[in-house]
Amino acid sequence: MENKGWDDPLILGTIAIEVGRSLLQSGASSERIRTSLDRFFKAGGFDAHIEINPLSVSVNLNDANGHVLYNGTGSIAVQGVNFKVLTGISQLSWEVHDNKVGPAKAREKLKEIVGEPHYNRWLNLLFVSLAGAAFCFTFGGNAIEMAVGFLATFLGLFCKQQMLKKHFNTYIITFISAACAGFVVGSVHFLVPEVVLEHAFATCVLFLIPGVPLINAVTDILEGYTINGVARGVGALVHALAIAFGLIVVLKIFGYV
Amino acid sequence: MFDLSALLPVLFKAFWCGLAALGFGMLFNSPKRALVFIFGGGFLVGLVKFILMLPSIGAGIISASFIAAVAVGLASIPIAHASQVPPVIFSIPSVIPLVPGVFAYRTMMGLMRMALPNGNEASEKLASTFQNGAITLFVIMGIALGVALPMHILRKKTVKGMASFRNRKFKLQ
Repeated sequence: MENKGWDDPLILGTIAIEVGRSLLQSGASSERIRTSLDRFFKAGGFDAHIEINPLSVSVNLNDANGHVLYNGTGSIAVQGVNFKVLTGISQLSWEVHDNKVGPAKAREKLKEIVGEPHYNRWLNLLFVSLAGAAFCFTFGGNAIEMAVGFLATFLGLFCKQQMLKKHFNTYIITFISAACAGFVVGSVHFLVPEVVLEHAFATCVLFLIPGVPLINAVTDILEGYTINGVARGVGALVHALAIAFGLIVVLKIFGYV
Repeated sequence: MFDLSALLPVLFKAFWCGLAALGFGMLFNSPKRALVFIFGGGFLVGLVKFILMLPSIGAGIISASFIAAVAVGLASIPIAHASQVPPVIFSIPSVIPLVPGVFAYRTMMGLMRMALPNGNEASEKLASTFQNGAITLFVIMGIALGVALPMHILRKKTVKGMASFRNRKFKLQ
């Protein structure tokens, strides 16, 4: 009885577009977007067609005779990562699939999921900086290098958060953050030249690595979404180049190259 | 059997891998109930990788990283059921500690040095840069493939699909 309303193509279509957009924005692989949307379409019983592009999702709902009942596109500005949204939508899609949730409630829940706050900024800084120190240790760094790595990651991520607030270009953010983190390590080395900081230098920028796009690129290509996979892979590559370029600038400033 | 005293530093390194994974879990805004599993995943990754790389076993960094990623990919399926989160939310932050940061850095430094005027040591630089680059590339491919493979091979949906294919083809039922 709860699935009342899902048979309206306009309601189902607009919710589906919103779900697709949110998933794409939060770092879902293309197949995950498709399977999540399929669970919504099961509730409506239309002949549904989805097209997933690197920055947009299109939905077509047809009736049994192939007549178009709804078609729409939702686009995003840039792909990000937000695992809380992925988890929330995954659960919501099952609830819709099992006819536990009607359209009005689903829309409400979707709003809640997307609006859920991120972790506290300072907690995030603390734990990501610890992760930076941890990287330094696992690659063979000593206690001093770990401390420098912690400090560099902290300041690098702080810069990144500031720039994210101002909606800078994503590659520029990576470039400047890498340069900031590298600058911290370079400054320490400049002030105390006897410490060797190779490991700290190499690991202080690891918080910038595009891990999710890299793995999604491989997943997408394996699952047949070649264009999306290549787009994500190229994005990840440009991030990696931006990191390298940020470090090069610092090495030039301090005259190590 | 390998020396048990060699295991202690491995455990210590695995603990720090867990912390690294946890940091990335928070950076990716993973749900709270997944964080403890992500720490465990990072620990597992470190444990598998560094045990395999002990001199008495002697695996290289590429195969060790690949097997560690497969271990996380396998673990992600029961954990997804237990913690009610999609498997990727556990597996992606967990494999981040495997990313070969130092090799990537050395590759980049080597490339930059090759752009400078080179003397007699040019071929030596070329060889070491190329080797570091190849290690970086293969480790990253190994991680991505390793973490994706178990999900593809064991995924419920795929197994279901295989069953219906068999029914149609051979009329078993």
